[in-house]
Parts: sequence; C-alpha cells; structure tokens
Amino acid sequence: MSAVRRMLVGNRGEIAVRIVRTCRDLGIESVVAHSTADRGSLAVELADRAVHIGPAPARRSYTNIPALLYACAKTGADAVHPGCGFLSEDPLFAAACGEVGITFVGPSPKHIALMGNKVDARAAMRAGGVPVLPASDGPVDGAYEARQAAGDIGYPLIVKAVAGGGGRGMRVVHRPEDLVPAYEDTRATARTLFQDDRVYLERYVPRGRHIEVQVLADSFGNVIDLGERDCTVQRRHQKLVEESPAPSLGDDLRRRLRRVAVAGAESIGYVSAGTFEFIVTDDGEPYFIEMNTRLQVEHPITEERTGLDLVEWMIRIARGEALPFGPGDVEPSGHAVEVRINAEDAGRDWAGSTGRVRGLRLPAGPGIRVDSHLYDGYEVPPFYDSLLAKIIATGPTREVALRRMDRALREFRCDGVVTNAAFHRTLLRDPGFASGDYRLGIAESLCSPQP
Amino acid sequence: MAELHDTVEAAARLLDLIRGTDVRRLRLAVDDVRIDVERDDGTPAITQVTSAEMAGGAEAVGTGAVVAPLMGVFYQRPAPDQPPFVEVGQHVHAGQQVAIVEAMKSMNPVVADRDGVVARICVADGEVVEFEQPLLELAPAGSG
Repeated sequence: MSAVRRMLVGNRGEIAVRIVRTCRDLGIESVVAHSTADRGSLAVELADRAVHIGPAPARRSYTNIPALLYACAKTGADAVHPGCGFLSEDPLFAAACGEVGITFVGPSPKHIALMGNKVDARAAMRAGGVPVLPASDGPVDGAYEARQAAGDIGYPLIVKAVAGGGGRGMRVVHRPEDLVPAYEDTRATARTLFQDDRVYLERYVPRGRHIEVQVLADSFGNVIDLGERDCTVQRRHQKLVEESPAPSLGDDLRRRLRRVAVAGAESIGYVSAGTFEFIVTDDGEPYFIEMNTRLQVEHPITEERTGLDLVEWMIRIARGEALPFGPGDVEPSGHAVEVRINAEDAGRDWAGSTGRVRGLRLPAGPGIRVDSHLYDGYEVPPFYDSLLAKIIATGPTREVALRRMDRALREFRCDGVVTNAAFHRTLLRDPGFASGDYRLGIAESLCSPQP
Repeated sequence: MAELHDTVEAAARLLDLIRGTDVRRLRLAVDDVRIDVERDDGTPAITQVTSAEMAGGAEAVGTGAVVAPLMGVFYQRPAPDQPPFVEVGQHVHAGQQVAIVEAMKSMNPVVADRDGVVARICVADGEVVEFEQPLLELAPAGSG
C-alpha cells in the first residue's frame, strides 16, 4: 500500500477540474500543474495549490516531464494523475514517476508501451483470443511491401501509424491507385506527430459502429467490465457524442464484447482503468482496434450507469487496494448519453474558435450532469484542444435520456465563443440517430449540406 | 471587489518600487500593456510598450525581478566550490549571468534583463523554482 496524500494533477481544462473534485471527496490534497495560459483556470481556483510549470505551448509545460517531476518535488506531491491526453499515455513519464517514488495513477509503463505500439497491441490481443482485423504482418517498409500487403488485405483499407491512436495518424484508401500516396503521406504525418514514421495496413470497415468496453483491473488479478459505450458519432475520427448502452447492439453481442475485453485485460495482466475499442461490422462481427490505457473523456456515462467514480477507483487501485466487487457485481443500469461541447465553428469548416465567455448558462435539473471548466469571463486560449464542456444526460430509458439532453441543450448558453451546440441539436432531431441504428459517417452526413 | 483590492495592492507595490528613484511619473494600463515612465528630467524612459514589443526584448530599466526561465533547481554558483554569480549590493549589467536553473542536468543560465544593483535574492540555493518565479530583485543603478 502506498499512501496518497497529495495529488499533482498533470492536466488542464475540464478533466483537471474533474480530478480535483474527486481528490476533494477522498480527502487528498490537490496540486494543479498549469501553464501561463491557464493561470486563471477553474482547476487552479478549486485546487489546494497550483504550480506554474511553463509557458503556454504544451511541450514546454503539460508534456514537459522534468517540469512535472520538479513540481512534485516542490509541492511534496506523492502521486500524479495525468488525466487524458498530454502525458497520460507516455511510458517514459509513468516510468520516471516510479523511479522517483511518485505513484502514477494509471497502468504500468510496460502496458502503456505495449498498447501504444499498435502492431504489438494487435499481436498481444490476438494471442489473448481477441478478434482483430486482417492486417499487414507488422510495419510496412516501402511502396512494394505496401502493395503486397494491400493485395492480401483487400480494399478499402486503412493506413495507420504504429505509434498512432486516438484517431490521429491514419488514412483510408479505397482504390489501389491511391495506396502509395496515402502510404507516403501517413508516414510523413506520423514522423511529425509521433517522431516514428512506421505504418501498417489494416482492413477498413466503412459503415461500422465504434463500440468500446470500460474495464477496471486491480493488482491482484481482479478484472471487471463496466459495460460498453457507443462512440459512433465522430467527425474526422474524433468523438462527438457517446452513449451507453449501445442502442443497436443485441444482448449476445454485448455480452461477447464485454467478455472479450475482460479476457484481453487478463491476458496481459493489465492494472488500472482501461478501454478496449472495437469496430463492429454490419453483420455484427466485432474487431479490436486499440486499447486506451487511461481515463477517457467519455467516462462519465459509465459513471452515471454504474454509480462508480472512475477517478476514485484509479486512485484506489494505484495505492494498492483490491476491487471489492467480482464479475457481475456491478451491472450498469439505465441509459446515459454525453455530448461534447467544443469551441468549434461549424460555419468555418469546424475551425477552432477562441474568445471570452459571456452570458454562460450551464444546464441542470433531473438527469443532467455537466463537466466543464467554463466560467463567465473565462478566456478560451488558442493553445489546446477545443473541449469546453461535457453535458451528460441520464434516464431510465434512451428516450428519456435524449429528451433530457434536448432540454439541456436548449438551456445551454455560452456567448463570446462559437460552439458546436447547434450540431448536437441537429443530431438529436435526426431520424437515424433517434432510431439508435446509426453508423460511422452520420456526423459528416449531417454537417455537409448545411453552412 | 477582489480585483479592485488587487489593483490597489499592485499600485502600492509599484509606489514602493519607485520610491527613492528618479521616476517622476508612471502610467500603467493593463490590457495590451501600456507603460509610460517619466524621469525627473522629463525624458521618457519607456513609452507605450505593447506585449509584443516586450516579448521582443525591449530594454527594461528601473526596479524589477529576474524570473526563472523554466521550472527547475535554482543555483547561485557555477559550481559548489565557486563564488556566487552575484551578491546583494553588486552592480549587474543587462545580459549578465546571475544564476543557474538546472533541469535534468541541463544548466540553464539566468541573465539580468537590465542594468541594476542586486537588491535581494528571493530564493535559497538549491530550491526548486516555478516557471517565472522571481529569483532576484534588481534596483536601479543610481544616476550613473
């Protein structure tokens, strides 16, 4: 057991606020590490203490490993929660924390590294009995090898960066003549984004559903799943809306996915919260795409359906506690849906927008939860991702949850910054979404005809 | 209310800083940064400095703090067995190294951004400092 008394929050925005809140609930002091741009952030305001770790650019602040370690040394923090993004899936950071005796709230560096390499992750999952899509045998070196592998896999296929993930560093190829340009392009992108230009090819499922399963595993070999989330509403591989349970999944497939995810986690001895992402084809076959070895943005819908605080359980597992529940003890109930309110201007090709928040009105009332770092007068900085707020609606049925979401979106107001709230209202009115039987591409089809 | 209080406090601190110097008038605007400083003889020392110009490294004068260029460990000496870069009361010139901030074995020099006299060293040797934490205070170097 390692005591956790003071937590350094190595992140910003709504997720930093989220972690500070659970620390407060657990009686753990919180220290928010922040950049110059986030001096006046809500997380800084709410935490017990704040440390100014660097200037606005993330590589000199939020992803600057030495700065975060010095921040722990300066404030006496004995644990770090990395949140989502930034250093949350950096095995070097997790290892560095371990070396200086700081509890990293997350999985082991070994598991982060394994799942961070998409080729190794596929191999490990296949060995653990998890279905994977046909793909090249490891990274593809050169146009000749790419053509050979593509011949075996067939079209459409997707060129993916070995070090990619989270929807970054991938290109879909529909015709053989587009293969080599896409291959070269993805390599160049991967070199810039990840300093690793290895890529591999995998079969692409065009009209699939993106379903993921949340697992929680302690260091005593106990693994439970907390149900699935449907993340099919995406734009350019970025999730916009998530719901649980997945509305168009039969009970058999749902059970199978959940069982496979638990088996996958057990097969590698995973510890902490983790998410197995699957693509489900039209004929109901699920295939593993990647595992996220961190807390996810959409975790609140799982919390709303299970009554568990995932940040709390990550901390408890990290300090050596055993899960007090076994398989089947936690059964999610009801329906929960989350929409991501982003600072994006749909009228300008979804370009990020900045500005000072005025006239803010966050929704509330029965079945509504809002995770956000917004306040009136907050200046949305141009340096980071565009997430402003997550609105989560819960109800006994999908219909009730969606009606509550519609109410929440009507109440939501945020002047001074352009948001994508109007898109979400359009989505709720779309018959395809309302039916629950929708596929990847739904967001694009709703956006394209309008300004 | 809190904001007003902060502003009054800041103004009081500024007054403290220019007391005893040859500054006759100091005008400060906060958004988009406008600072006018007038000397006793009426010549402007700084006029209308925008944040962009400041980042460009306009010559600073008067009292001010030298801040940490990054998060790391503050050292007053080039090596443990050597004398400190500067001591209280010592004259320094703009560009002169006054300390080190070490981050993971990389020794990052801290340099004075203006001429002046070291009025105070704000941090103990070996202390971990935050980004932009004041390390030492420089007072104006008199009339010369």
